[in-house]
Amino acid sequence: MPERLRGVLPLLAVLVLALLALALGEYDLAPLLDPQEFARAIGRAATFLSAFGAPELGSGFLATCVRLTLDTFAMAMAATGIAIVLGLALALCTSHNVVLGESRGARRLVLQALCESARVVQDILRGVPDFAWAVILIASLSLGPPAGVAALALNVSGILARVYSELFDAVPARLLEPLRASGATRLQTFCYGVVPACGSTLVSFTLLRWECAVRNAAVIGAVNAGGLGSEIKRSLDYGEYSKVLTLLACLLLLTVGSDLVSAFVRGRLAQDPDHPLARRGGERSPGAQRASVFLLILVLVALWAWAMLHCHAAWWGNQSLEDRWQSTVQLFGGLLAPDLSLLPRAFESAVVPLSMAFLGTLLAALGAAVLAYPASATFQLLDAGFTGERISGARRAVRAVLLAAARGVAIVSRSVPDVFWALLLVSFFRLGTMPGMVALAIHSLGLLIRLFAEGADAVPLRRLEVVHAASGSRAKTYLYGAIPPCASHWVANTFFQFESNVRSGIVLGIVGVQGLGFLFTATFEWFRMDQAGTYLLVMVLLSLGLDRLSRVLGLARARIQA
Amino acid sequence: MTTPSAPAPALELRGVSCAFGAHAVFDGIDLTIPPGQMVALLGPSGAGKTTLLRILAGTLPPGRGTVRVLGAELGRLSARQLRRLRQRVGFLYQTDALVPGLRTVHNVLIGRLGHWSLLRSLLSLVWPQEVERARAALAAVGIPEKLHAPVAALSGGQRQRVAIARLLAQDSELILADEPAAALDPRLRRATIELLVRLARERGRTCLVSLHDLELMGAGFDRVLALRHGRWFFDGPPGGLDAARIAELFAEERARGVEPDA
Ligand SMILES: Nc1ncnc2c1ncn2[C@@H]1O[C@H](COP(=O)(O)OP(=O)(O)OP(=O)(O)O)[C@@H](O)[C@H]1O
Ligand SMILES: [Mg+2]
Repeated sequence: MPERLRGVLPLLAVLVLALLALALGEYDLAPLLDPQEFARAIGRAATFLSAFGAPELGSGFLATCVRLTLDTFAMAMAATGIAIVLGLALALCTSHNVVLGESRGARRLVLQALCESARVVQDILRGVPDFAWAVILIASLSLGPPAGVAALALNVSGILARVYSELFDAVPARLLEPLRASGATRLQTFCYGVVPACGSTLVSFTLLRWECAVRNAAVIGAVNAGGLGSEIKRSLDYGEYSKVLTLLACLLLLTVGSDLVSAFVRGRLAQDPDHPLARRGGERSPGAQRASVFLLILVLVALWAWAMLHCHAAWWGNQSLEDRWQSTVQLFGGLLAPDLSLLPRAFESAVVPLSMAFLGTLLAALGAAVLAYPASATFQLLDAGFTGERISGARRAVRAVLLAAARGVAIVSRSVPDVFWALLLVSFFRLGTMPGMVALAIHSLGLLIRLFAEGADAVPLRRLEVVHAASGSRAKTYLYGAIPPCASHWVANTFFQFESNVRSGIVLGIVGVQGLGFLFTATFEWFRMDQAGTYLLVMVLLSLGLDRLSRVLGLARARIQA
Repeated sequence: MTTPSAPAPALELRGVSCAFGAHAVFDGIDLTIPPGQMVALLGPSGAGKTTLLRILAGTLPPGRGTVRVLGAELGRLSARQLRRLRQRVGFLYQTDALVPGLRTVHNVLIGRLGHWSLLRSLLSLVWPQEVERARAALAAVGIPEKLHAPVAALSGGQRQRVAIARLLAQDSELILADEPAAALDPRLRRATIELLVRLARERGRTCLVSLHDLELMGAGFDRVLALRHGRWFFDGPPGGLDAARIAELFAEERARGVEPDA
């Protein structure tokens, strides 16, 4: 019965891939499987954690912490600002919907060629992880925040450009036809057809990327780009664990803070006005609305300007511009002449990050599908809206605690950058691929729980009412009423997370002394630019492949919610 | 209305009132429907048809009065008992009845969820359970070939048929339907309502269907109820509602120009 296999085949495919990834990733599972090893691992982790002791709270050090936190924040802010402008410009060049429009014949072919070449630029920017950009730029430009900002900005603009252009292309032609038919120019079609259709998804995605930039700004600090990251690395190297604790607390404050700000803004973008979670209160006049948007943009631009100035200070330091230009040209000249005989080995080294990313993302997605249920406000607190049942105060309280716990787990696991999770886990699993994979799983779990729960909370209550009436159970209503309409959205988000985890897997390779990331950094530090260039090439090819795959599968379409 | 020897009514309302804020929809209405009766519920827009059905479904607790469904008084049931009762009641909605992203077979099998454990429900998403039952239900509504079709590939009329197939799979004793054909093409409405009434009658189920459209009147109902201003305007056999009374029932709506073609 082939029809019945339809539900089974995708699961089998994922299972086979997972087993393959498990076999190829060389994971040391002993600490989990062998009770004796487990006890030893717990001992190692306990020793490691107890070394931290009490956080350092001297007022001098606290002032330093505040300054470093501001540095990191400013880096992320400045980089995101640049990336939005760059990314938008690039996305306009790479979107078929925008560039090709209705052109035909030779003109269409030329435009298409332009589009494809712009996509390669996009792939290069995105495919090289910010960490690798930082390594390159610090060597060629200077130490400190400006290089960090540039590294982040390049990578984030590649990511934003890809997502923007994918979103632009996902706007169905039937929405644009009436505009084109009435003679609208390409720009008009873009402003009146494309932007309204995907605008709020676009803003929401940009905010998620901004949060991510804040976390990554702290991570790339570790290669001397300044801010919290540099100081955490230094304190770790010198064994000043009490300082590390304070710095990590600052990092957590910063990332949790940006998480909450972004959640607040995205909440206000919520679409279904009938939904109990949507904004309440009177309609605002268009004038007031425009004024508040204008004000918001003004504040953002001012913040960005401050951030640029803040990071700028170190720029004019000790080297002349000419020297910097010279070293940059030399360095990129080397990188752009990759040693192609190394390609097979470089591809082989990509197996480790791919395997870590696949397993980590898979575990995270499975966990998030389960935890999105306790983390969903619709299912825990607002269920009376579809069940019609009145529940006792005590049960309400239990559910509120459950909700808070699930969301708490999610926010902590996503607010600690994956690299730091990996550093913590090394004490338990020892050096290797295992801590990296688990770190990716934990960090992605937090991100996916939020996205999945948001999806479940956006399902109209009427639909849940139908399923609940027949099933009589909240859990079954979640399975049959909430998951299926969200499924394509969840898959798209999970795939995107996988792609982003491949990059993180490359970076984690440096921490775990494995795979592509490690080989790149090692060869770069030994000034074997031709070899380093080969590894970079493979990174770019990886992200190019994944991007084309996602376009072929049409995953972006799911992101524009109807 | 009922004599002691008659079987327990399938539905019973006694002095039911319901208000949204200051706006009273019903003020003390009574109703008795014996088992196996096919009843049409008629009324202008805003008369309270949906509200009445939601009260009977237990999703909207009434302000005052008692509601008995299949012999059980809703106000006295615990959440668990209410859920048990609901599994014996099938609902049919105007729109949004099907879950997008689920294949037809699963949409029909939603009717079985009340009979399955959570684990079996989960398993069924991967390996559909009781497929024969789903197939039979789809055959009864005339679209057995759509068993594995995605919902997006169904026409509006077919969707409503799938929703009816779900009711059949559920094996409910009572069917409550709120304008089940209103979203359909006029020529399909009659056929859909007729199908629902015929299948319910064949299986000896009680049926209360709210309608907005007068064309649906010949579909085989035993009894017509008409609501206006939160009271019973008419209660009798379909033949008893003559043109003058119908005009009176919908007079205000016509005057307000609510009708789509007005
Ligand atoms: N959730 C609610 N909050 C406030 N008022 C409501 C609510 N639901 C219904 N009403 C009001 O109750 C009255 C009855 O509504 P109901 O939906 O039952 O009418 P109806 O007969 O089903 O109309 P239609 O034919 O248009 O579906 C209307 O005046 C409506 O405005
Ligand atoms: Mg209604």
